[in-house]
Amino acid sequence: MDDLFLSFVPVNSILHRLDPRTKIIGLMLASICILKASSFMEITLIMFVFLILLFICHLPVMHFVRSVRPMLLFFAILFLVQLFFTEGTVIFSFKWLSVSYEGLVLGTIITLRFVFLLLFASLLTATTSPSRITAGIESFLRLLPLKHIGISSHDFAMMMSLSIYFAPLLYDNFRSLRDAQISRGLDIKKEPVKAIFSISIPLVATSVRRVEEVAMAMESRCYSGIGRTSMYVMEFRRMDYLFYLLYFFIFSFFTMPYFKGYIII
Amino acid sequence: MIYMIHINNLSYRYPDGTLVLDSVSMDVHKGEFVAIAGKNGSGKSTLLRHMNGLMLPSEGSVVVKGMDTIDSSFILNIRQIAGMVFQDPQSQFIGMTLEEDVAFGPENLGLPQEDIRKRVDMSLQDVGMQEYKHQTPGSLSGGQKQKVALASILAMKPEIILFDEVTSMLDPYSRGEILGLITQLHENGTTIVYVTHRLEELVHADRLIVMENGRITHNGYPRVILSQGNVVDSGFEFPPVIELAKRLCDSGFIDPACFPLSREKLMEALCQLM
Amino acid sequence: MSIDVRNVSFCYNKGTSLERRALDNVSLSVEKGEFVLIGGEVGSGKSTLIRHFNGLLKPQSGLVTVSGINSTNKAVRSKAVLLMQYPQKQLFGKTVFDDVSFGPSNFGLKGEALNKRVIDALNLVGLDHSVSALSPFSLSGGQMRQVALAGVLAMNPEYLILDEPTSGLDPENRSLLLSTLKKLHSTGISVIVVSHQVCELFPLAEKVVLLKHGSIAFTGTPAEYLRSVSSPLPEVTLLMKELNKAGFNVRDDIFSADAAFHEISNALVKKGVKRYG
Repeated sequence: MDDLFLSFVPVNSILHRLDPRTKIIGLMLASICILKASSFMEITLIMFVFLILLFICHLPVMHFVRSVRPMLLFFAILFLVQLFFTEGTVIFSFKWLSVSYEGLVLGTIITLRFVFLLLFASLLTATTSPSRITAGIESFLRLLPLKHIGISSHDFAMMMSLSIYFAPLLYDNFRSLRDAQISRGLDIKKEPVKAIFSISIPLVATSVRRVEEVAMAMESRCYSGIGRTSMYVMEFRRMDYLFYLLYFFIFSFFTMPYFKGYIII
Repeated sequence: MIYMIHINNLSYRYPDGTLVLDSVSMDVHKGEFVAIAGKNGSGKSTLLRHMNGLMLPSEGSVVVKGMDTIDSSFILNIRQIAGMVFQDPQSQFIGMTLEEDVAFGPENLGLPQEDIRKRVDMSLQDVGMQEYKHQTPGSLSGGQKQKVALASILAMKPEIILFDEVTSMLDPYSRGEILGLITQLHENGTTIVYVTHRLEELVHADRLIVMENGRITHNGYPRVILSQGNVVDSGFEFPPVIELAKRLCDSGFIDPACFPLSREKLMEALCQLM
Repeated sequence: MSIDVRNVSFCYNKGTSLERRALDNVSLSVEKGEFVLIGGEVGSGKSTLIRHFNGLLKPQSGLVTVSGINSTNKAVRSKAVLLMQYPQKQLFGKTVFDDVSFGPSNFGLKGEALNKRVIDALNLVGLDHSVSALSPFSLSGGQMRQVALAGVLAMNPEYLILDEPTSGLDPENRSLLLSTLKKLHSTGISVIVVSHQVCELFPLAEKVVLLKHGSIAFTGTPAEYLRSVSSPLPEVTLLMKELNKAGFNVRDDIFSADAAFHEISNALVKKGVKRYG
């Protein structure tokens, strides 16, 4: 099996053992910090935090490299757009294109922001099984008045975990269909439209069938959307409180204007 | 005799009017191993799916341990009592790891966390997969997945297990392993209903039901039914070794009443002749 | 003319922590017109090997040629054609005709010639040409498989490679498939079947290849296989071996019910065993 984009890797580490809610809140706070980061100093600090987490999560660096790889094209476009379309001191020009110093800085920072957003998100997904993530989100949802608009938080959580669980199956299916059609002479590069049809139609057909089968398997095992319990009971342990303490310090550092004064590009 | 499943004059039509089951009546007794065989489209899987209320009769009734499947207040009870394992090992997986998948049923029953854990560990142990419990299904072979599917049903502590051609997508070795697990369950008192078209899997069955065009054509001892020549076309797979046994019966070397259904039984029969 | 595999090795996820060696220095040739079985357990490298035959995978070391053409050349895909496991999943055409014509039209076949190819392929797998206007999704599972097989046959392959073609088939469709394969072989097409149940195809095969942990553990005729391989063996052969041990004097290098029946009934008659009835 290929190691997949944003997949869960079950090993034993401090991060794996944390309560999913702690990690979800952590990701939310990290996202705010990352989106607020506007200097290389701040980006470096974020990188530092990431490296520490990377060190304690016991996962190979390659896993995270692979999480970023599928998005490389997007990052490249993002960077180039900033690079060429930001006005400022011109440092290089070629025909009608010109690169400004401000563009270079802005492009690098914005691209790195997205890279780190993705890296932190993959830290959450790599160390937390999807069902724990959904259990965590479900407990947040329970605080919302969803019942009044006719949605059970169980159904919602189940829907989420099923869609996460379907992703690798879909990818597997996609690969075997691609191989099958290539074996029948399909040239994906020369005829992209034909490729899309000949792969997506059977992909949808098999997925529909599979969804029906899974629904039947769920029904057979007494799924009814109410009165469900979970194997994972969530509880905050000492380590979780320690992390909240860390969150407090790091987050206030990034948001308090007082500290900002010390940060110079 | 205690009826586990009592089916009376069951007919089932697809919404477009096609008759799939045509007034089928049969019973399954406590502790029995009933095999159901027949060609594709004979209605055998449809019949099986009536036994845990996945499908509901158009006419007639299906009663599982005194509970009519048509009464929706019984349905969760019925499905806990009668668990079902399906053909495709891939599409029964609900969860990212084996442990999560097996926990799905007990979670639906609303059990406390401690019990769920205990049941997950125990049923994975029963099928010999406990060491893989944190793995993802992608890393397993078809046979291993099917064992986990069985474990996920065992975790609900069913009294009846319904098997829908569970070995048809497996290699011979895994097939043997799964069958071994099933016969063990049977010996420990679980009632088994087993849909198959593989003859050699009937060795352990107490009773064989053969279906054709939505009707039951035979219902009785496997050996007796199989020694009658007219079931050969009923969608059975005749592996060479069974074909050999059949020819030895037909030519009078072996008593047709003791029709050997496996290589081991044939060997026994031949050694007795010496 | 042959498929030649020379010293091919292949690793999945090469250079990562998930590296897994699937083929280890495999050499093998499949002659034109040969019926070859490739067996081995799950994970022995069978699927990886056949994906090299039509260039879906490129050898990381070594060389694969099909009738002299390097497998990295796309031209091999019309000569060596691969039908995947559970091929009914790959159907997508609006009609059976559309689907079956997909392969040959990708290689530039058009008009009347294309029509004829499709009809011939449908006939070859035992389908009436009247199905060609139906939607493939309206057919039964068994028929969908036949359509998928027709879809690769319409490409007029020299080598037909099938991945676990009997898996999940009911007896009726299985015997239909086997007779189709026999027919194809008799027209001069090489048939290469990958299966974890090679034994059931012994009656058709000329050559058997057994893979173990990515290497070739055995190559030879079915008869040689029965003599030199200890497992997996066909049930009938196992029975004959057991009978031999028990003091019956019977040949143990046979696998068909027919041959075994003659051996056993002769032995029984010699012993003077009485018949019933």
